[in-house]
Amino acid sequence: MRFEIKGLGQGYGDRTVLEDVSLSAESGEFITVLGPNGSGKSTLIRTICNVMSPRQGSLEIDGRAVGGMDRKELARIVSYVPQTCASFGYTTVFETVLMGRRPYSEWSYSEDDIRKAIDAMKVMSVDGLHDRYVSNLSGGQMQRVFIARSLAQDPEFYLFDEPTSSLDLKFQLESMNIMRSMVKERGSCLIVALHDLNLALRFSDKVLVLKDSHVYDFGPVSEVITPRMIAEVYGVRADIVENERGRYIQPYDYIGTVPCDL
Amino acid sequence: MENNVGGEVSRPGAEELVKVYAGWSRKRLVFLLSMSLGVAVVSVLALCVGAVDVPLADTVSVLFRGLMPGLIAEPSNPHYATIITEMRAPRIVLTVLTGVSLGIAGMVMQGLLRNPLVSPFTLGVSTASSFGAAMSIVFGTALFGTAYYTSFSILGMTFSFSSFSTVMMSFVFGLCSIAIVLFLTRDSNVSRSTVILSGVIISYIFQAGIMFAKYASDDDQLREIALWMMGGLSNVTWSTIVIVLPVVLVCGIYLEKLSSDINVLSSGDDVARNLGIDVRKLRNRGLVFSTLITTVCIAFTGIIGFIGLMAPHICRMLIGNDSRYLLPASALMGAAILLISDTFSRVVMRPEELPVGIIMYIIGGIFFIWLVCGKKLGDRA
Repeated sequence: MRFEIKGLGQGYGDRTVLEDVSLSAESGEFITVLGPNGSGKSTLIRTICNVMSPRQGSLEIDGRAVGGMDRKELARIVSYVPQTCASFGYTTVFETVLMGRRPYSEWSYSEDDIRKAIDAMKVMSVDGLHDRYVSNLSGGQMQRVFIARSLAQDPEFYLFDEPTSSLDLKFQLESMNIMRSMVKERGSCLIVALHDLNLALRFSDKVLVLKDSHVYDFGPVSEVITPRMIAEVYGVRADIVENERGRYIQPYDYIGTVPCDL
Repeated sequence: MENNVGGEVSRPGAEELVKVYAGWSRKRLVFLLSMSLGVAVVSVLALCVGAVDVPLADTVSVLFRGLMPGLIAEPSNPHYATIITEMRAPRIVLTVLTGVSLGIAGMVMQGLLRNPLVSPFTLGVSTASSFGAAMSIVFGTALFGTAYYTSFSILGMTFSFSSFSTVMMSFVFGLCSIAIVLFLTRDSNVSRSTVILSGVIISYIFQAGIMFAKYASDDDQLREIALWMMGGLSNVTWSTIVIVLPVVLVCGIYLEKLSSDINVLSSGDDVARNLGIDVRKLRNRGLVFSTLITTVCIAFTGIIGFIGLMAPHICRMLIGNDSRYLLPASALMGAAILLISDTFSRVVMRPEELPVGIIMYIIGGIFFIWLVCGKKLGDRA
């Protein structure tokens, strides 16, 4: 499947957050969205999954306008994990993950839905927490639960907003590996907003960089993540070091002062 | 339901987890059946007691002799049939319906706005209904002239115009409150906090209206307003049930149909939208139907607080947050609390009656304190 985004514009009130953003994503691609704080990464992810209606531009999946699609049909194609998720009251991990099957069910869940939720819990290693209330979990455990819910949704396109921000180092790598295998083994497409440039460098196929509401660059990871991009977008001087294990970003200085209006 | 709040626990197999989920559903169904049975038993006991006690055997005889005339003997006193069928049964049916309505409305409002402190009171429904009733009581004569003191008949049932006017004004203003809240929050990007705040503000405005009505009233009207606002279930006839029952049934079934979507909303508006829910439509419909189910009851009973807040809260602690089960559980819990409170209010100073609100706040409050302070809350589900 192919997701085509053309000339996207988005904002809140009078404030423009995104202007003329275009990108295309296909099944089997891992795309990372990068950019400094406030550059519009989260807004882009929310707009792509139709949680926010775009002010300008078009969103199409295989030539069909996203806005014209049935809500449940779209929910079977695109799943979304926000940066921070809510959980109200006494909702268990199992019940939360099972919500991912809502687009496939009516009032009750079938045994197939329950088994798919169990599989998703096992993939994200939260099956041992199945009877815990989500509101009692740590930030990292919650993040794994919400990714598991997204897996249970079984879509073609996964949209994750900072999915590793609350995870410890081991779970960051494990989660990114799981996401990578979803792309390579299941042929899904991932669009992930990240702050960690090293994770982006290691796991992405393509990178979209946002700066000042516009697309700074979009293309293969090796061409986009460069010392020049890091300096111009983040205001940080960095080297990209290469050894037998891969390529790493090594920041060593920042340029000027950190803007106070971020 | 929850256990081992500490560190990581052992990882169960897939078959074990399938059984765990089935076990939860079974446990919730057993809870609902037990609650239904409990409400039925309390209803029968409530029929027995009052200013005149009716023996249980005679109550059963009045209730079931029509079904099995050969097996059940006639009641020992012929007046028992009149006391039960004409005086107590309509009151108890309305009590159950009101408890059911307030329990459902509280649960739905809390779920839709993801706030356990929301109830029909918070969103201004009860205050607006009180305002309507107060207006009718104080300004009824000015509004309707001498017609206010007349009576009329519909389908063979006689209504006094003054009572009818109070019920209608209370009902209409109750619905007006949610209409104003929805109008103020019609922007699609409005947050749920804004919805709650709008309700609170509407509540204050109607409160000002009630104060004015009290200020403009004479002593009799002031007492009538005060009693209406304390809530009461006396003087109920079957004609009231004929009006209330269909509304409660239709709204209850419709809200149960929405319960699965309300579950998804517990994960946040964005996630719910991504899972295929039209959040704005769900919230508006849920609020309108839960207001309708509330106002149709409190228009007849006066203000009955507490249940909409506490019944869902208590049930959430007992069976978790799955709205599909929580909605009927809250309905039954609401019915049970109100039924017990009303029965106490009838017998504690008999032959006089206390306003039901006084007893209900005491019983419900003590029960809730016991539940909160009893054991670790997580172990209860």
